[in-house]
Amino acid sequence: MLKNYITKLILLVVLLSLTSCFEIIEEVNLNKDGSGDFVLTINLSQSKSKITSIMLLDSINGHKVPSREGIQQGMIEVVNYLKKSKGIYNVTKKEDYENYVFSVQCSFKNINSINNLTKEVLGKQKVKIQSYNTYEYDVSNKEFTKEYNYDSQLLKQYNKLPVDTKKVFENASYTGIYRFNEQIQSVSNTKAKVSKSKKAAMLRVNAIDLINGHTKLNTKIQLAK
Amino acid sequence: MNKYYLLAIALLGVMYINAQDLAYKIPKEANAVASLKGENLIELIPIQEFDKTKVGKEILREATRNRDRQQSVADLGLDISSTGYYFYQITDSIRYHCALMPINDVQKFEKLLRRGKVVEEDGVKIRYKEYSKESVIAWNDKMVLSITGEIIESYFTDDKVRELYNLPERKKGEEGEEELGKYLRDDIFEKWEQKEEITFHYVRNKAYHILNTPITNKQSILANREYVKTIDKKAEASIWVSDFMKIYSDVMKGKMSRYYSSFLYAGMDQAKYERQQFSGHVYAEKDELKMKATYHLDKKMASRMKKVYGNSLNKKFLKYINEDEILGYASYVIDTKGFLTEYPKMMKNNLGGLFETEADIITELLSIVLDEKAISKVIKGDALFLMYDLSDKEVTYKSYKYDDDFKQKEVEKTRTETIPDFLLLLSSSDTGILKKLLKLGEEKGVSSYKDGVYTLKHRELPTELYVSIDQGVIAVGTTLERIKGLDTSTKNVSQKHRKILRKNSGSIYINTKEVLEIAKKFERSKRKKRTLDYIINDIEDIQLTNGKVRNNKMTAELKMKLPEGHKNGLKYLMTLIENLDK
Repeated sequence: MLKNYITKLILLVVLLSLTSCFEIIEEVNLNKDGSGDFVLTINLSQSKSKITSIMLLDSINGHKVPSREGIQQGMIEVVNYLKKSKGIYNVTKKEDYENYVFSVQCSFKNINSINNLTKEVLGKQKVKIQSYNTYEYDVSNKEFTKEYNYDSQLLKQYNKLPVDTKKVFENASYTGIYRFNEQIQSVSNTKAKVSKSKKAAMLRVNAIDLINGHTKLNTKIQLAK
Repeated sequence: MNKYYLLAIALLGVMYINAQDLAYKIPKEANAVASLKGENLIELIPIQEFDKTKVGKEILREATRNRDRQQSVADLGLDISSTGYYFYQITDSIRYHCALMPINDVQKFEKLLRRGKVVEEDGVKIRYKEYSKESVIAWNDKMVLSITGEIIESYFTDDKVRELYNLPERKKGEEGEEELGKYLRDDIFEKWEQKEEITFHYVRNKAYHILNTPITNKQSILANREYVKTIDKKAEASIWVSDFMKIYSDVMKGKMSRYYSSFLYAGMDQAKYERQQFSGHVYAEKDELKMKATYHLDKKMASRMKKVYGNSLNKKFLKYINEDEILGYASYVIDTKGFLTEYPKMMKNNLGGLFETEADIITELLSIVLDEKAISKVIKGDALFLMYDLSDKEVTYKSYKYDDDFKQKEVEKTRTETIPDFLLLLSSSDTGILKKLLKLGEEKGVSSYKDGVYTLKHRELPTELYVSIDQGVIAVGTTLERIKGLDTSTKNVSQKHRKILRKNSGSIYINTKEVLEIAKKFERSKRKKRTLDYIINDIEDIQLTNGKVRNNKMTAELKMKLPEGHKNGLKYLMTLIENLDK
């Protein structure tokens, strides 16, 4: 099973190896009652020329290049999966094949409903990784928690990559944005920034640091009581 | 001693004093002969120098493993000053792979041999391994022969042959089972040992025959006029194949009989080919390294190929070339009409007797459906691909900006991307349909037209493409200036390249130094950068040409001029190998 996951991860990496960089943006808008909206965006726009070139090929380095129809089908599957998931509604998707920006948006009644969502979404796109996020919001204590589970396999696989392929990750980034109705009192993760209005926190990290396990996405945000 | 290693010595080793040429030991019926000429090579690199090279040291190390260490490859007992031969022979029952080399000191040679059983008969010694009897090494005082046999299984389906070799009668296969003839193929040899013993019997007899039986000149390959005609004394290494298609179909049959049906197997036999020879030579001359390959076509094939490759590259293409700026080019010239009329015939020929009526119908149908003449007006069949430098281009991409409340706003940013800068040229005497297609593109928003140049922009294209149609030349490229700026005063192409492009049916040129300079920019490893630096300073341009059909022959040549400071091609190669390995 693990071998299968690794193969899929390598496939993703091979594909991304010909892109020069990418960004993943995760946005959570949380209401007072613990309900809210979640948006996951994968922006490959900076590498659109290279992706366009890859898409003209049938396969690259022995791996099949997904067709546009294949990606569309994958996105439909993601949406259908989310629609069937308990506590999730208003599911929408955006696909921009000119800039290669893809996003999935949904609303939730309780933030627990989106736990493992990133993992499942990537899984539907045939990429399975063991690193995943879990969220929790304690309504009475007004405490938002994000736990990030790091998988050391990520680093092992990364180290096996050729030097040139590793270069792809140098400029890649992960951004997490958490917006609230109330002001933020404290944020546990020192790398997170708090907005001027104190109603939003942003955590932007380099993909390399995430792969190395040097940066943790774990964050505890205490809202004003 | 490893049989492959002996083969390598026979083909790679070489040197010293003129000795007997063993070609007279090669049977006239040999299907392929390869040779490495020792005396030519020692002229290029003396044996004492060769011993000091990496290749020389490697040969010595491998040859004297677990034995007394020798100081020179001349001390191995092999007469490496004469020509080493490899030949391949197919009979109805077996395929032989043989390597022949003279011996000048049999005692020294015998010391090289490792474990194995040795049998002796009439002054010929044969060494074999119990577990691998299909390969033997046979020698006498004068020469050594390494020989490997491959049984042709179909021969052993005949009842009389089976009786002769004490093979049991075969069981009939069930209907629909994988079979050869009417029998299951697993029944040919019940045990692996049977096959091995029969192969051993064949290779041992062959070895005795070659080493001990006097072969008259009439029976040797030297009586084969076609082989003799291809001999080039100046070449350092040569190969000759008597019937290229026979070997090809023999190899295919070997594979097919195992994996495909006997139906296709039968078809290969019926392909209507006449004998087509192939010869190739390698030259390590004072000023260049050269490889030359020649296809000797049969008359019918030659006349077809003449129709396909009869044209020359459009002269107008030359004014688009700026030799100082190109990284390389590739040209190809066919006659579209000749291709469309001759290709179906060649395919039909390849099928042999199979689907004869169907092939006739398809050929006729193609001729009716395709108007060869009209198509050849639209696409004449010549093309020139010019690779210029990699150029930087500003491209836009989507990103996000965040306000004080981290609210996201989509913004357009720009970045510089490196894209290949190329120009593709095609000839056409009827550009009407292309113009109509580009017009349609305009209506669909894919192309636009300005100042005589069409711009193609589509999300499925990695970059914008520019197209111009001028005096029957269709130019497609990535740089507007190159498409538009056809200022002949700034373009130049040397007489050498003019000749190559115009006189050949295909050519490839690589400005090696420039290409490697670019590769260096993308290389991150310091070691690889150092290697690239070395090669850049010690390499010249590479040129491949594919000539037109002349005297029923097609010749391809690969050439590289030697950089300054090297006495000859062989010394250059030895130095290159050593430096690349550092």
